[in-house]
Amino acid sequence: MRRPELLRPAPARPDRRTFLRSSLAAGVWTLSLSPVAAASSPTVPATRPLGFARGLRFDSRGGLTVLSQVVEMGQGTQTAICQIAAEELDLALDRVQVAQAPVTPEYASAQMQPPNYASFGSLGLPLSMAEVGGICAAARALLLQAGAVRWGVPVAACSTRDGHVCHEDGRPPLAYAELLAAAAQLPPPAKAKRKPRAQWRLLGQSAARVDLPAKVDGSARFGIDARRPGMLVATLMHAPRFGAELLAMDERPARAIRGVRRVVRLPGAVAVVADSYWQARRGLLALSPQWSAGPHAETDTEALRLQLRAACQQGQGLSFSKDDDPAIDPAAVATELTRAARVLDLSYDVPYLAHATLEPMNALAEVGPDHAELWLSTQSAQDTQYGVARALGLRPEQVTVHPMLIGGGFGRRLEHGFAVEAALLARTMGRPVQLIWSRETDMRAGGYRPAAAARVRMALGADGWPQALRVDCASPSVLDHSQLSNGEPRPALDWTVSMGWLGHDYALGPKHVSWTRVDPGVPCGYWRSVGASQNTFFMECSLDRAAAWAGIDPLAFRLRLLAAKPQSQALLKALAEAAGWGRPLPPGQFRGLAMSAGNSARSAHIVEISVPAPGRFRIERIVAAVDAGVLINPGAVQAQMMGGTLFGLAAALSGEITLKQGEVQQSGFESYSVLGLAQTPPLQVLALGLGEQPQGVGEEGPASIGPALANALFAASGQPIERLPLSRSGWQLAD
Amino acid sequence: MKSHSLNINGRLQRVAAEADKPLLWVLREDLGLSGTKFGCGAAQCGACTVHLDGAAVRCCVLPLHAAAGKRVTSIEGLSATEIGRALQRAWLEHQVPQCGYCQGGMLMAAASLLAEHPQPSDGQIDAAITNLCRCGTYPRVRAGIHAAAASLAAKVAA
Repeated sequence: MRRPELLRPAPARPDRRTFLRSSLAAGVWTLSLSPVAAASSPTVPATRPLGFARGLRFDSRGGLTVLSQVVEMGQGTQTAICQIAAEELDLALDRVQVAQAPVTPEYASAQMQPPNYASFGSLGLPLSMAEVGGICAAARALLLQAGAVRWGVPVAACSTRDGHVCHEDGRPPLAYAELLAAAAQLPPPAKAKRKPRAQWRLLGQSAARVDLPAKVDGSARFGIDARRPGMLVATLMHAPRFGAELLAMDERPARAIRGVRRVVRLPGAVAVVADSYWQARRGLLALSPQWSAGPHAETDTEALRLQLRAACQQGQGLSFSKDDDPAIDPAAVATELTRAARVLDLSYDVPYLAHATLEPMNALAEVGPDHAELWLSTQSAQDTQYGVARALGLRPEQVTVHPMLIGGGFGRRLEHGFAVEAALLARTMGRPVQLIWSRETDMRAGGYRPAAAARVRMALGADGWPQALRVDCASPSVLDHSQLSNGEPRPALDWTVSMGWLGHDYALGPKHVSWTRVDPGVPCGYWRSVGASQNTFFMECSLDRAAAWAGIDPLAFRLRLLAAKPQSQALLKALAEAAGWGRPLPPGQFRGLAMSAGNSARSAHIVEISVPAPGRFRIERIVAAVDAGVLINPGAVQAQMMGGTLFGLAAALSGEITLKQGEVQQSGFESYSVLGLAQTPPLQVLALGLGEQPQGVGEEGPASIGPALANALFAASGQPIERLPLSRSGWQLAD
Repeated sequence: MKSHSLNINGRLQRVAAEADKPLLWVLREDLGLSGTKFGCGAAQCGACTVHLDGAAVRCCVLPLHAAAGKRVTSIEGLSATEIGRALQRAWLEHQVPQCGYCQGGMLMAAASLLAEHPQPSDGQIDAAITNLCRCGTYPRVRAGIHAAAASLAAKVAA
């Protein structure tokens, strides 16, 4: 969810712009990274303080707490952080715990551009490897040194094991707890040696998730479970059309309901505040507000689809440059397209998609004259802090944000409009207010994966091999809408639309990738795997068309295009072997394959299907493979890939948000259908580590499952899939 | 407001709330039991699944008056039964949850299934577990149910 070069490869030590700070108070040794020359960088706006800190706190018994800005939304990063700290410090895993760091500039990651306190883009793991791992290595060096001083021996004679400093002569080891005070007096090293991979004992082994015990007995506290004394509860409806305004409303029907305290008009919304959710909900349902038509009263997604396709045909978009990908060469592409033996000219489109997190957006806010405090599930605590501060006329440091467990993020909780709404309601009421969106409010509020279209032209030589690639795509821009601070706002060219087109591993000759901004004003956002969610579909279906024309097996075709990329080849080969790609399938069964490379890791799917009736298919089996670079917690990687696969499968089968006359047509799980257990096919996941640097894998999975399935349907029917969801291409799951 | 008598997780409690207030919000707001989750308010997602006299129900649409006089078990009371404990152990063993928001409801649905079918077939699991999970835990939910069923059967045999 970023320009790929921002974090590849992850540095293996703390950032240079930081120094270690060591302090001892009340028997607790705290070691943290602090910024040097804060806010001096010309590339960072002055309002976004630079720097990060990763605090370690050793208690007097040698137990360790790591303060982390990564929030837990089921991806398991907090468990990985425990593993990383325990590994670098030679501690038992159960001596380490993670606590949510305060939302302050010191805990924003300087490796994000701009520095941010946020969890997205599969960054949590590589950032923690660099930052938590680096500071833990420094702490270990200090403990070693303290032990050596205590004994009066050279540091080289000492080692660490299981929370102790040991001497090579076998004398009784010193527990870390005995050395904390001495270590805290030593000057922290500028950089410390990391434990080499060959000596890992915890990293690479599946570790039980630290957050799970509380998730099987009801004690886990999500944002919606936050409580404050005297709090009120609110729910709201937004204008039925984006940008419309309230014209008139009779508040009395709501106020007549017991428990309703107030009807509050917010920008583009009407809220009812009551003593309980049920009362607020009843109050809201009693209202019949009149809304203006608004600026987007004509928005119709079927018309938009045609408009997006037309923009691709015109091909007048802005083009990515050689700086974005060395293979970009529009002149060479033009030449190849004129002299190719054949030009594949393919057009695709995909719809808006909702995240449909199971926990609806909600936030609890308490607002005083010069301070605000919020408790909420958010992936984007710092942007929430800034956004609420702006809305209330406060400074960011006057807003305290408490990130809580997240009941489904997928990118949706990078937006913070609901937190601003809660803060405005709390200010109006002069009491804490928890705002809970209803399911229909959540479904209709935007933040969607943008609808998109692409025209893909591939110049093929007489031997069938691709000589050049031209892509003209069109869509709204995520960056125009999202509240996540993630680079330059509203750039002419939105880099997220290039994910999967640029920097992929296929040797397709020179490339020309252009994008046309077509925006009907529907709020968009980051949706798990972002631009790769559509571009992988466009690319991988095109590859199967090219392979079919060349008469070459889709796997063999890809392997040859990846001849210079052994890591991607190895991924596909491992997947193909696990799925038995070369073996004949039973009669009536067909396979499809696709690979995704739009985010930091790589993933691929093979899908086997049967077609019991025209337009009806059954998924016999899915085999998925993900290359995490280096595996940290293989079980968690498997779970992420499994989850990403099913998230993408649900979207490919039937996911779409549609608008008619400016209004979103979907309102709940009856109209935005998501995958159920009974529809989940047998699914095998290979978790692989084929590289040198660990990568997060949360973004993997959704992108390649759709095209793998589409390619299987193409293999079965000879009819290419050029539109998602599959239900719009005439295909449905058989009962 | 009329006061209602409820049997929640084996304890008798009195609640003063509207008779049509859904049990979900009574549990969460009046009784401080926040393990039962709000997902859709329309009995579609199952995050609010509790047991009413042992049967799984979606309590976001169950009015308080319909629960009065019946035994209500929420996720906080699941560990009181052998089946509940077996499921919780299996859930940890198979590392079932991801975000975990739906899992309370999943476990309650699974417990009700095992009470009725101690050795459920995959088809019976399909039919009984209609709870929605956006993290994609379904394969581990299925494995967890089978594992809990197996451990309970082993206990009976032993």
